[in-house]
Amino acid sequence: MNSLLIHLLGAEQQSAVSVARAYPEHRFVFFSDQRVVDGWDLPYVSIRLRQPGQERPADLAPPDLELPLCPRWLPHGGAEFALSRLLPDMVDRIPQLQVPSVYSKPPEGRLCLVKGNRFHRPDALLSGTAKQIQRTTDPNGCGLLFQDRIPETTHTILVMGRRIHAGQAVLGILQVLEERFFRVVILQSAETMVDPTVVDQSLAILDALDYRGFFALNWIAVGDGRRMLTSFRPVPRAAFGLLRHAGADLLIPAPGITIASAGFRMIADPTYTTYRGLTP
Amino acid sequence: MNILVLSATASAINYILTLAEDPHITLHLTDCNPNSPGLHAPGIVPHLIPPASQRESYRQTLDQIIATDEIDLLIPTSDYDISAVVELLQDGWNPPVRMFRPPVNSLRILSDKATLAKTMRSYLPDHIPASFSLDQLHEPLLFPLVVKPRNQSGGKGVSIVHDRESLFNQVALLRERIGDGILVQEYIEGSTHVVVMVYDHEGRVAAALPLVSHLTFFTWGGGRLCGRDHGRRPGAPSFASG
Repeated sequence: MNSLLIHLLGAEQQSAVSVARAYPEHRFVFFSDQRVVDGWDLPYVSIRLRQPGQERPADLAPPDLELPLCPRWLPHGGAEFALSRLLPDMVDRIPQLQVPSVYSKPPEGRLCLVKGNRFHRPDALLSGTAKQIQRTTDPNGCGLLFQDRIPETTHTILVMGRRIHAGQAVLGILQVLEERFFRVVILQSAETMVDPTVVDQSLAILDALDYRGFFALNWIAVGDGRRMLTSFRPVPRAAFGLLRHAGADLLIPAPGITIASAGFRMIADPTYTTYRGLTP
Repeated sequence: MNILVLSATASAINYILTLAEDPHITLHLTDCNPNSPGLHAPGIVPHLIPPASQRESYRQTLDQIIATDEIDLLIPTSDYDISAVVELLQDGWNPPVRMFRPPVNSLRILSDKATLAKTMRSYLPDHIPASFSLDQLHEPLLFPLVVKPRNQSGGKGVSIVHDRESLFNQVALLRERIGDGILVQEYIEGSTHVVVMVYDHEGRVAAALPLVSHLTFFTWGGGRLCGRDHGRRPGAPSFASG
């Protein structure tokens, strides 16, 4: 197989090193507008400073694949996939789909989570009553969304994958064992699993949107067996190696619908690397 | 030598990178979380133990590991483990290992930011930001200020406020979550420098490493520093994944 040239946009995300480590036979250019990013220790990776919306540097060849890792790098900052629009729209179009209610302001008398509307709010996860979270600020411009917190949640299920077109998609269904919410979200540990309801409803959502590209859907499992969709982001997460080991190749998708085999586990690996700060 | 490092999450990575491949050392790591990354690092012996908050079963498990694996050196690393070990020592625990045995009073000063700031300011009045108690907030204050919990780490609950209204809002917000254990401090503009210092039992500096931060952010195990030591080779903690 030929080595592909892959440009990753928003390489400050954990998924940049995830895809690069999972596919060492390819060449990668990481782009980020952040000063410090990971990946300097990978010999087939080069790293460049670039702002969202900025043209590809003239000295670089066109890539075989350009992959945004954060919605900030999508047209209009990912506004097309803002949760405030997407979640209610999906409920209208898929009657059996359940989602926690979302609000533009935290309602009195309810416990809510604070979410970034277009991309992860770069901070620790916040939740609380209206009084506790109504003064939450948005210094990063992700847009704020308040979502009902479901106390009966037993675990989080991440559906990560890539849809080429109707009838061809690759999906990994992962039980999230540890996840950390900070400047970026860190997937610390996860295991591929079987969940037919989540698979069927995820495919229904992707088909309803006729979505094409990489994606990450977050579901919660509720005590009574229900599944509720809590977010849809049009970018992948940091589980490329796990899914490849589990038979789901996101870069070279097999024909038809591919579901990663169950029972494969990842635990993120902290490393030390020498780096150069990205400066203009 | 058998070395037991408590917590496989926080600074354990330093011990793993430094010691795991040393043929003369067997590195044992503990954690209460089976998904802690350090427990899965190559070259170490993992031990899943009860949380430090379950003090009695925690101590019994450590005693068992120390006896069974003939541990020579014990190194607690996380805030939880250090607090638990120092309090166990205070209560008479005396494991047959080499380890730092700091007095409990030192831990109490170090683990409370207000007490620490007050203590250090008495020695270094020009280098320690002024601190204000909640009773002083109605007095004239120079903004911006930093509001932070007195006894938490990793940047949790820390915010910068630029006016009196924001100050009272932030204090009210924190108060609902953690009570009155709040510290308000003078905000100092500039970059972050960190000095890691190791003292021996006689209070003498055994090692010191100054670092300048390019980026400080918060992730599992508390604050993470992307920086470099002054005048030596660059290095930055970072995260790779499956």
